[in-house]
Amino acid sequence: MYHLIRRIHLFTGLILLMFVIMYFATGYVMIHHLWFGENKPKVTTRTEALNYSGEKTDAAMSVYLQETFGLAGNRVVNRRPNGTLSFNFVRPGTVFEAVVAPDGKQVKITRRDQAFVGTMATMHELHGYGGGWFYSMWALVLDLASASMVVFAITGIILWYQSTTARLPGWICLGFSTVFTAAMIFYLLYRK
Amino acid sequence: MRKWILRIHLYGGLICAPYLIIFGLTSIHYNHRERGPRAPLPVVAEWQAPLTVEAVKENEAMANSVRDSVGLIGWVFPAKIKRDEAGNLQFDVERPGKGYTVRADVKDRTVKVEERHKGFVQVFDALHAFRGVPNSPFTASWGIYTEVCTIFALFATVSGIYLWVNSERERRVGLAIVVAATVISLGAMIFVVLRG
Repeated sequence: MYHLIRRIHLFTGLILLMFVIMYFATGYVMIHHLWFGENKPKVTTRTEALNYSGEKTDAAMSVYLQETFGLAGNRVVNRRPNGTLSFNFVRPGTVFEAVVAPDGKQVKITRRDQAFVGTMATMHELHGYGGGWFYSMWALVLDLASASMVVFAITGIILWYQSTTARLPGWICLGFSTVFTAAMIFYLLYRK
Repeated sequence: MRKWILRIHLYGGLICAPYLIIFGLTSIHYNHRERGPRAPLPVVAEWQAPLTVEAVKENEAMANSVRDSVGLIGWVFPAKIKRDEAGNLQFDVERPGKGYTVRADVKDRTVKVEERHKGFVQVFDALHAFRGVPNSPFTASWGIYTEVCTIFALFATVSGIYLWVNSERERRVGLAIVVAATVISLGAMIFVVLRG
């Protein structure tokens, strides 16, 4: 049993190594974004005529816009409160926003070329299924890397418990972190 | 050397285990969350307190001092502050777990507060990258914990590889896995930046 848990701990880590490093490294850049230079994207806008006669669904229209105007990225549909239909096409480094005119005859496309911090943040935040096959695969890896975090933590606790006899220092470390986490949750839930 | 690296790997892991579990579960939730605007939360409590601070011209400064005087913690968003002709101030205070609408009446010298609760899941999600909220030193300690665990996660990755390389077991199959996984992962990251 010990060897099986050790293998799970090891192999889940090795398989998802680069993604786990990427999530913590990009997260660190986001936390300390002021250390990494100005985060102002370069913005360019263009307006194009639209002649869409395909399927009347948001998903089909986003594919059409992407293919017609070369808007690479993860497809995201936004419906604004005023009823305007807009689409985002997101990938690290470049974000397109396509806003369709109410009459459906024009589309305004805004391109944002991100600086380093923006690129790192977009890579960290890229998520969700249904934005194209590559991005669905990315979302699957995100799920796996996230699940591996939980597996690391749980198998790590089991390995510590099974591999040591002097457990007091370990209980102190685990007890402190668990009580601290629980206290923070209760504080945020119940403080005035 | 190996003994010390193993100890730090082990005890650092026990200190960071709750954060790693929260990080993993909240990432999965984020990946499956519905996009778009959410319905406004209902007001669950209303209470009143005396206005003990003097009115000042600058809206944000006054909102912050009113927030502090009634013992609330959280962020005041300047764009949502409103002041009427009589000088009464209305603003929102937001933080993980709760949100408030605060009305400071300068003539009656009262502060009326409406409270909304965001629930356990919202608090849990917020702990993914929470750096603390204004007027609460305790919550700032979570920012330090997050920082320590982020650095530890990178250390644990490197030290885990070191410990594995120094062990005779599973070296060949592990090496095949790490090479294949690294090539595919780096390939995907380069592809998404360059071609997407």
